[in-house]
Amino acid sequence: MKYSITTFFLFLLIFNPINGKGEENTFDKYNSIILLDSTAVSVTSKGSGSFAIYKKIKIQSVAGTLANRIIKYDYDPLTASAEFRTATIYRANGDVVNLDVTAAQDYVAPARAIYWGARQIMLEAGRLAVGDVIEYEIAKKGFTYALLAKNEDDSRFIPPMQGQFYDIIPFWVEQPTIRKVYQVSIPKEKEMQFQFYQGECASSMRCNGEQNIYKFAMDNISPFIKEPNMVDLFDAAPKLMISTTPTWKEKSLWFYKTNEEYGSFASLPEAQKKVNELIYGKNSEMEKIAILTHWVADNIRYSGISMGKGEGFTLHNTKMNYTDRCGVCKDIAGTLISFLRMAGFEAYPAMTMAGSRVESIPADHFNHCVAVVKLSNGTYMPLDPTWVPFCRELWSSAEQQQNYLPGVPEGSDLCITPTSDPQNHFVHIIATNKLDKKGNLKGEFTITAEGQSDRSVRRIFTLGWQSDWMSTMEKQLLDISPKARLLHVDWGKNPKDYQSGPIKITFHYEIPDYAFIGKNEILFKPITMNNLYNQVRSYLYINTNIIERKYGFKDACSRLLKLDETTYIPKKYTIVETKNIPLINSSAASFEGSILQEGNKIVIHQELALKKRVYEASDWDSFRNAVNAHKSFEDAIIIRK
Amino acid sequence: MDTNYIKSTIILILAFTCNTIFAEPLDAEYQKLAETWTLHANGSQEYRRSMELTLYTHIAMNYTYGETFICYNPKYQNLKIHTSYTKQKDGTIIQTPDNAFVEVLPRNAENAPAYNHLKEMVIVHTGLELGATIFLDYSIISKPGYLPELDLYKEFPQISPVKNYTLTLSVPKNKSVGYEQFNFPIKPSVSYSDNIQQIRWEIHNLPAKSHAPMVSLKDGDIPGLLVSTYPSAKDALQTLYAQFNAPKDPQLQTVAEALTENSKTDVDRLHAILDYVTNQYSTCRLSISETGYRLRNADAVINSAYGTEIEMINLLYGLLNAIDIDAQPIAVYNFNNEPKVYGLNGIKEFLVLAYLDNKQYVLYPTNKKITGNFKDKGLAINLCNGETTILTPLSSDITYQAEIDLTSQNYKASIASTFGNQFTSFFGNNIDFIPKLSNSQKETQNNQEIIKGELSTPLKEKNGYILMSFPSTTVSFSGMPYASFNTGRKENLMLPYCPIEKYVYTIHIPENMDLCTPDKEKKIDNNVGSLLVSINTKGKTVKITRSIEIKKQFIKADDYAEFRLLMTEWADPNEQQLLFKCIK
Repeated sequence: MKYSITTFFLFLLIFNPINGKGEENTFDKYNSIILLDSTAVSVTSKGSGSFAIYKKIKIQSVAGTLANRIIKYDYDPLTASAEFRTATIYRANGDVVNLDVTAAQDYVAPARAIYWGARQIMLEAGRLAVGDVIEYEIAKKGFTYALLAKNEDDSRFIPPMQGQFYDIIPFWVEQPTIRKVYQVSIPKEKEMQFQFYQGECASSMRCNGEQNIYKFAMDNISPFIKEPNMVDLFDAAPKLMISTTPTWKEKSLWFYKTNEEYGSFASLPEAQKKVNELIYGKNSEMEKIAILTHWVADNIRYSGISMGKGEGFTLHNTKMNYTDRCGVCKDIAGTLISFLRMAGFEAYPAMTMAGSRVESIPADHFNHCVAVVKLSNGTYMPLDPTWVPFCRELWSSAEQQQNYLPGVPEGSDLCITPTSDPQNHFVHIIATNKLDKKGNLKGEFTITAEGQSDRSVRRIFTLGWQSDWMSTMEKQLLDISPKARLLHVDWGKNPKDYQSGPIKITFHYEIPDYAFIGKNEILFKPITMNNLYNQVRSYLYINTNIIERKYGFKDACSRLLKLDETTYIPKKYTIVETKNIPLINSSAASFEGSILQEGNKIVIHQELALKKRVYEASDWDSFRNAVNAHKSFEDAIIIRK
Repeated sequence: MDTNYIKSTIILILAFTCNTIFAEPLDAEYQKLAETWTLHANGSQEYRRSMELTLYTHIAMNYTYGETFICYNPKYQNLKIHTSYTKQKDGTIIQTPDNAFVEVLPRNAENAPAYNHLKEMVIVHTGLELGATIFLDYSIISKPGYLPELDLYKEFPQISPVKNYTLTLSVPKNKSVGYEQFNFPIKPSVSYSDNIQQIRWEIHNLPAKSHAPMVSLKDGDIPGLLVSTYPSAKDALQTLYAQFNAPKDPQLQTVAEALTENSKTDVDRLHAILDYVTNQYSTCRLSISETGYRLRNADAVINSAYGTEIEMINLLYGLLNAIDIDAQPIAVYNFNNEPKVYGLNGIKEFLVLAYLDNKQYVLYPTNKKITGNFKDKGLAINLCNGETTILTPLSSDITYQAEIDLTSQNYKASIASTFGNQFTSFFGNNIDFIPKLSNSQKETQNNQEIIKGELSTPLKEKNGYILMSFPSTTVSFSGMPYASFNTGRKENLMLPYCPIEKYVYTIHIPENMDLCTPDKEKKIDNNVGSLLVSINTKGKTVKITRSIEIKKQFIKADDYAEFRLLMTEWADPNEQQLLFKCIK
């Protein structure tokens, strides 16, 4: 598509912004307005969908012109195809420009970590002006998508769970939207379940010959206003879920069957040799499960190459995984399942959704794959080798309160992982310091940590450059004060060995001029509250000045923080204010703490327990009170003669 | 010869020869790395890279070397993989399977339809384990005419050390090739055969790239090589400049005139054009080498609303030129001094210099808030004529005076301050030097921004005490990251400028408050600079003076401790606050 340079004058219209009309007026401040966002799906008896995707956008600012200068759409060529049908620009001055859709580019998308050949189609709209309206239609065909050429082999578009159709449709928007419509036309014989969550829409069902037509629409949708650290938008904003699959159990059975039939977990002599070597001398089932899970977690790296047909929902087989030593979550889980089976366990894959809730309607709302192993007591235990490299856990507590669906022979309903006791992720700092009259501090502290806290503290040793170990240790002190001097650090014999027990590091240091010196006063901050190991205190990244929350919120993990700091102070000095906060406790969080003087010692003790990873909005008060009580210990302590 | 250069050279020789003696534990190591650049008589070129890389730790295996990424232009270049396999610790060979060679769009070419044909070959190295060695050998063969000349700029250190590193140039005998070595003394071997001239460097035990911040070739810490068959800087730059729109391009003239229609002065016109270029285009991050040293003309850029860096320079320069504003497109290099040879790959960035009313304007087409030239920029050369250009030095002085009236609830400060033109942008859209200033007055005099105004800040009393922090500015040198750098440093450090800052606070203490901070005077005067912090009380008035001057912009490794001493004192929060007691 070519323009003459005279079209330049069109964009001078930016200096004359055009006001919207009617409902658009309230949306004037936005860069663009979606006038219509419509998706119409026609589902075949085999479950494949033909999608007609239509959008009409009004440009309202220079930023809006730049954001829409190209139209881009992603698709997976293994299961879908997509093409532009029409694209038109209605210029603010009345001109109409029909874009040449045959000039659209279709190419392999940029990629990192997952190299399955995902593609994009792109059409260049070029220089737009404020007031322009752009509309386009994309035809897409595939599992969840649409249409296209008549004579090609359509088998690749048939969903792996043949005959079934599902879709997950976010109804929240980033740009104000005048109307959003989703319509699905489905053979009458298919029973479809649907539910609209976290909002309301206009819905209808009409019979049209051999098809039932379901329609869902919302008008005048404002962009969703997010809260910091809130749960995923899928858990808070309007969404539509539809599925023809009756129950999760059927999906579970299908997942089991698919991978068994492909032979994902067939044994392999060289892998069997490795399994035998790993479990040699391990007597209990948990010892065996642990050694196999951690070997896979640490040694099958995350980098996904395609197996071709079946990629995306089939776990690579043992031969491919063990030879490649890489894959995405499903292939890492697949390796573990093969290993467990070669060690005599019954193990299966499971699908999960990292980041948001899975609803009771069996739409495939999954983005991650894990494993389950059957224990001798008959129960299934979830294992996630992708999320536990260099961490002693077998199921990452960064995935607490997460739904998963095991693909087991007897079928399964949706399961959920429990919360993990904060004690499982404790971090404990014990510091002993001596403060002199000039404000110089000399002392030592020891940090020990377990679970996800251990993983964070130990990370420099397991996944950092060895040449950076010492400078990183020094940085921990420089975060307290640039004047800090690291005298000695003891990280034990082999801090890389995360299996040996909780990490333990002891620092010896001095900090000249640490305290603020008055005529009769000395002020100092507890070092345990002065930027020390903030990386493990994920709750510090949650703004507790916010008074109310509308939505649930998330921390990285449940956690127990224990701080014990003793500071020897110069003789004849007395603390101006002691502090004692007795236990405040709730189902979400607890805190207790004190600052006391015992002779020439200032003794500080704190214990903060944050009990969940995903919190309800109603947990906010107790979470916030506990964290704010803890943060009040950041204030400088005043001692005076 | 600079003593620093001699010292760096000795250190590098020692590093090359003694690395194995003083070796740090290895995460990975190149057993062999060989790079060859061949220029054929017909103008075609081949770049060949061959490596044997052994992995020892998980950061190397899981997160660093799992994939190799190779960008090329399939229209003009052919990528040939000679060998790709992994040798596992027990000797098992795992050939890279076909599905582990994946071609994708380079991220830098995203959203740029004109460059959508570029490719990035991702080679996923399979069979990796601790102790495994990756063997990869590939060539990129460019058709005659695609690459204008043999032109390379290479900083040697890799993420991991290299046992045996060879760099080879192969050019027709009758072709003149020049090179410049940076910070390494090893002489190449030169051989001739069959009308081919071959130049070869062999480096043993090359240490890994330093992880210290702000380490660069131009500061003497990184060994590197510049090679070019261009006869001169002008010839090299002409490759780009010849693709610029012609001077006084009538179409650009139309655009520029429309943009500046309502502008009254030349400065207004300059501002209007810069505003248009910086706000109404998306930036494409492809480098000149990724686009084959090609650029689209301004018409295409205007119509598509995006451009690469050099395309945007052409547009900005062309628009200024079209309305007779004296402007020059400038290439800034990765090194400070004029080398023996010039190519295009040694260029770090491009900018446009404009001159109005005897003032030099440093303009970037992607960001109009960038202020003047920091003095560590590097060698600057005019694209039009290949001549070296001097960037006008700017003032980095800050003075700040605050007259403060204190109560137990708040303080009110009357502030008068000046900021050197180092900090000020050309069109008054400065960042907020003094946040929350009310009744502010600003004027520009003698290359300085004068800012006056009032501040009111609440104070919190606790247990009868008030801790008051001094107001300051967002552009103080204390905001630089140097105080948090590690205590030891083996490398030199170039500062963006030499700060001269002075802050004077006069605080009037009310009758119901007493100052608890004793008078003091702390002075440091060393090789690198000087610092003064003083507190002086007279009756109910306390005067605080804080000043710093750094005399050396180039901090040699030997001076680092003295520099750090000044920085940590200057950033010390205890030196930036006073304690008061409330009298009930």
